[in-house]
Amino acid sequence: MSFNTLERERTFKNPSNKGTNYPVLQELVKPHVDSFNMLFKDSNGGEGLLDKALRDIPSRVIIDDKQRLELTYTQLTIAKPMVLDKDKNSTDRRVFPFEARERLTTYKSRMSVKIQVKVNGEIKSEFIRECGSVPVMVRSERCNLQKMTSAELVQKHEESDEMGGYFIINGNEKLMRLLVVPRRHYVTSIIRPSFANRGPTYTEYGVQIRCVRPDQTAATNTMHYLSNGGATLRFAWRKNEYMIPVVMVLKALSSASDRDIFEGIIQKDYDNTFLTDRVELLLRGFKPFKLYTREQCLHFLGSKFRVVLGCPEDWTDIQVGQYLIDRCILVHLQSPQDKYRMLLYMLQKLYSLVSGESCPDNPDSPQLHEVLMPGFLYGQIIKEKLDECLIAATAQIRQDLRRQVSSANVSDDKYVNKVIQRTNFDIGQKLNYFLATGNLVSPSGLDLQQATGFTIMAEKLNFYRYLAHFRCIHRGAFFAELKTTAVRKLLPEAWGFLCPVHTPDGAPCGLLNHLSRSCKVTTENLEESASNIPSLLSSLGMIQPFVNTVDRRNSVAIQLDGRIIGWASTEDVKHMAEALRIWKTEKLHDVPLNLEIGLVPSSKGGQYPGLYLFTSRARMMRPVKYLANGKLDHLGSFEQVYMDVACVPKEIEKGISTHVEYTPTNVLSVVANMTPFSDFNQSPRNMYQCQMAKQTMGTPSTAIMRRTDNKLYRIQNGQTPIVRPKLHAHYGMDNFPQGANAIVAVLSYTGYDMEDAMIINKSAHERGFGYGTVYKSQIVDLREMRGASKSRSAPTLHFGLGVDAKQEWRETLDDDGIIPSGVKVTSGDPICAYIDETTGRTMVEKYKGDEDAYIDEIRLLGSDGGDTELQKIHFKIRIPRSPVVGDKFSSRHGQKGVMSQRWKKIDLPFSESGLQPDVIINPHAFPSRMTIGMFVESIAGKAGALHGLAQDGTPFNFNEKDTPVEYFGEQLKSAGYNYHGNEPMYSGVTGEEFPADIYIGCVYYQRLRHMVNDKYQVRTLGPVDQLTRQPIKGRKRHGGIRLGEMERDALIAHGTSFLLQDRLMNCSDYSTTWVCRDCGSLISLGYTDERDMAASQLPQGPTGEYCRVCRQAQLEKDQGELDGEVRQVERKGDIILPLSKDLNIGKGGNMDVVAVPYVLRYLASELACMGIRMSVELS
Amino acid sequence: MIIPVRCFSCGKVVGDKWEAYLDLLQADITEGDAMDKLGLRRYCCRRMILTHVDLIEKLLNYNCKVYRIHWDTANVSNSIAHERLRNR
Repeated sequence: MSFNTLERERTFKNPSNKGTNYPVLQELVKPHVDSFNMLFKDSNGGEGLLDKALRDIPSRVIIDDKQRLELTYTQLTIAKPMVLDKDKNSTDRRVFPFEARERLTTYKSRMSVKIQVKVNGEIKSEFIRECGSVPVMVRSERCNLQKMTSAELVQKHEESDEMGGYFIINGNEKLMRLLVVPRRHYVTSIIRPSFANRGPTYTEYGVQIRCVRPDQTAATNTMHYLSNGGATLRFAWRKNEYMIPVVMVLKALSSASDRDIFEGIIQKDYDNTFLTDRVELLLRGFKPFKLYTREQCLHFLGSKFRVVLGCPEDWTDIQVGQYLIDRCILVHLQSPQDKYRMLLYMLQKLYSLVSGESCPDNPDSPQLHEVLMPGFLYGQIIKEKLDECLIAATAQIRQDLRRQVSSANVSDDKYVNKVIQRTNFDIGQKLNYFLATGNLVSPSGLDLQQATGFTIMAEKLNFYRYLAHFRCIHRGAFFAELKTTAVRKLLPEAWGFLCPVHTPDGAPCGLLNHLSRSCKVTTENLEESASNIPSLLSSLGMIQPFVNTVDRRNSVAIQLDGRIIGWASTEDVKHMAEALRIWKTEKLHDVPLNLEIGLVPSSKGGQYPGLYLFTSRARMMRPVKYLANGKLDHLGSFEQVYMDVACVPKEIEKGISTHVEYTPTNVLSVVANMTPFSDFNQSPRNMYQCQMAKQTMGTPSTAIMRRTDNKLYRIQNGQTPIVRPKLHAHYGMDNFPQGANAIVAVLSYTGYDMEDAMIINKSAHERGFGYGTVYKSQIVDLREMRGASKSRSAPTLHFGLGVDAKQEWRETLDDDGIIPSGVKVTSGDPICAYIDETTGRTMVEKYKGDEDAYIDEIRLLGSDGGDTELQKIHFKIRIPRSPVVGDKFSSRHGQKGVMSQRWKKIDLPFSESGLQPDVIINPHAFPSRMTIGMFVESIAGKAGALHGLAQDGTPFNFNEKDTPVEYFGEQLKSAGYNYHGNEPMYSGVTGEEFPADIYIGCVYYQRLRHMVNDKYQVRTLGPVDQLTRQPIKGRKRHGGIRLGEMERDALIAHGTSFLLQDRLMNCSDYSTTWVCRDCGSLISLGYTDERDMAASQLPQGPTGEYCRVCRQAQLEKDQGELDGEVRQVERKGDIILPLSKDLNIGKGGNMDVVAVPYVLRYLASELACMGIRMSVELS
Repeated sequence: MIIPVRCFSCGKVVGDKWEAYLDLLQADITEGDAMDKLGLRRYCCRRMILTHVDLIEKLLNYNCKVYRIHWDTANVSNSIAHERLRNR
């Protein structure tokens, strides 16, 4: 392999002007971008999902005085991002993402809807209502960057390979994470103990189907098995769950007689008494309802559900019942016959689950998963918000009518328009909130299990991390709370779809996965090509679904996207599946490649058999080679379970294997693929590397001048690794180097390399090894300052230096009140000044960081219209970060360590060619971790540098017979080096040769972002908490580090009481306080007023201190004696100590000073508030 | 970014060799031979040149100064603009 240096240089200088440089990168974010594009235009050129959604939003009707007003959405438009109309200066009206990013605004475009007004069925008028500006996905159909070539992208200040797929919200790049949801249109058998808690007679058995409408909104139906043999159907409407007897739904769908239902379920299997008995009970159970015809059932349903559904008041109960069926029951099917057949199938499957004929499905298995994609979710939210807006508008009209507002008149379209314009239709703002916070505000819940955590920030820490954001797929926030770990398990069904290596360790382990590099998610509409599949199958002998002679003992159902399209014998379906697979791989009969052919064979107690065909969107599919004809096949996660995919051609077994992987590395994620020789490492090490690669200081972006991120890490001298997998070049990773090839000696030297520490060559450090930079942002927004006028009118704060400005400010700031760029700043230096118009004073904003830094760039941010005074400035601050002792480094094999010493070059060991290592690591890092891949990389890197080769580190290329040691050893030998990669070395201190040869080679080292300068925490004195006077916590606030209970225990166990006293008291909230020796109170100190002659006579201490409690008691006692009655002062506790020196003067002046923690005094006063007295005994 | 002045490990000056290396590659000389020609013998110096990524060329595309040249020379091709900048 070559480094392709010239080619790289050429694309650096001249980005491609035909498409992008690396189209494969666009492929990786496809699920994001394509799903968003589908909102506007379907893949078949038909209407987009938003239009479909719009048609599905029911009209809202108001009936007043025999006038019937009907409001319907007819059209929705979302434009491309443009400058505001009031802006008159722009030459190009388009807005590009870089502007949103740099100006810290949202990349959005205007949305409007057309609302049709019908009065008494006649179209009266149509209004257009603006819906605010909705955030737009970058590089999508609605983005101004779409279809730009690399060269054009660079012109627009984007990366040459900008992939898009994210939104820009207030200058932050936000993306919606892919989410795992149950596979649509497949009936899942579930045994869940909690089902039994749903009511009397409910059992743990159930079947569930997630149905998706054409606009991608979903509704789940669950069928519960009851212990009396019956079944109910459960659905949710506006987060409330309802159950209806299944038979009622069946009868409401078609006027089926009991016999029809019986035959439909039993299907000639009369000997199966388990089934016949239960179906009989099911039908008998429905008798008490006395509902016989379809109309009766619909009427019944309508009358019960009228209150919740919000249908027009003039609808009959039958219409309402029909509406319920349409909206809630098996919503993916339109025709009642299809729904009826599907319900019968669900009953069959339910009974077979109960009888043990088939097993429950595992809902955690990727076989039954699909992906919720950003665009589809976005569309669902828009749909729901639109519906809400229309409801709000009708509610307003109703209110006006109720209150008899004079202008309220439903037949007056001026009035209707006025109400609509008055109602809040700002959907843009709601979407903005959703994307900014990730919180979903929804009355229906969108059939999802979570309401938060949908969006994440696309951090550009380095390219790997950035890329991984788009490939990560989350199991759902709900599962993160589960105590059981079953959902986190890596299942064999995930093979090839989810990367087995790339998941974080810790809390999200196994829940946050990453798509494998070859995994695709279908987004396209295959309805048309799917529509001819039934006829194709009929020609292969499929029995039509309406035929009632099917015998379920030897036939199985054939389903296409959750619709029963027919029946066939178990032998026939096998041929059908095979034929379909041949047709789809050879592109015959218009069978789409993304058709999933899930043939579940008949078995005893296995998955319920059938032929399940899927053409729907949102499925995970991956390319493999079909062995029967050697053609490309796309396998889905459902069908793969029943396929036999060989990993390498050698593994193919005749008659068993159906497919073979194109390459075994296809099952790994992009990031996991970048670990060279990962097949030689212990597997957890590869997982660690995936984490660390994403924390590396690399090259986050090449358009760094155009970025305004809060924090950006950059390495100065990035190199391309000598040892890298082929995919490194494939994905263009050289555009974003993130490490350097270090000369690494594995050597125990000086002792400073103990415990995973590493020594680096001081001279290498000085020549730029590992040098990095951190960019931070500081934003000064005068509108948010104290003293800013809250109103929209002219601002009262202005940038600039007033006459009262201090001389030192004038020295550093320019006349405009802003620091010039390029200037060095230290903590607390002013960076800009502003004048408060009301007070006339000049104020400054200071540099907030602790470290010395440089002002890199200054952005003056105007308003959207460009018509207001400057109020906002963005400072990009550059902090140089050359490596310091304590910074973290790692190789690509999960071998991390901190730099413990920068060792002088003269004292470092040297080899015979005079070469000295950049890095020394300790040999003890290897035996327990078994990262052999790092050894291999070391010799491969050395050989590669010597021969000028880019070594291929793709995993699974070597094996036991053809070892990498041999291969690279020979290379080393031919270059005149030791075959094993060892070299004799000489001590840098004594000049003597080491007794052993040293393993030295070239390893790619990453510098991780965890740096001492961000973490060190030191404090002697500092801020304390107001209430407790204990040191506050937090590094940022210069707080202390807590010496907690366990640390305290350790100190007690050691008997180091003096140290304990020092930590917990002297260095914390040491305080002295007066305590009364008589009553033991800590909080009763009083001082005598010297001017008060009478008081001066009372008992008191030398400085006039006295105990208020005791003095009061004494006074009362004296008073009582005078009055002739003796009152005892209440005394609780047995405190009394020797009384003060002058016993004869009475109580009150007997005070003493003690040292106590301040919190104790606080505790005493808190207790006093509750009426509890604390008293201290002095001895 | 830009080629480091010296080899990290041994301190041999490599900063002057990048352009020469590119010229050698341009002349269809293999990477290994090119480095031999440049007199880089130790593998520490060789990896400096071999694995260097001259990101500066990419970053210059975003530099406002170069940007202006693009505008001034709207008719002149991109590469000439680059050339001009380099000759300054």
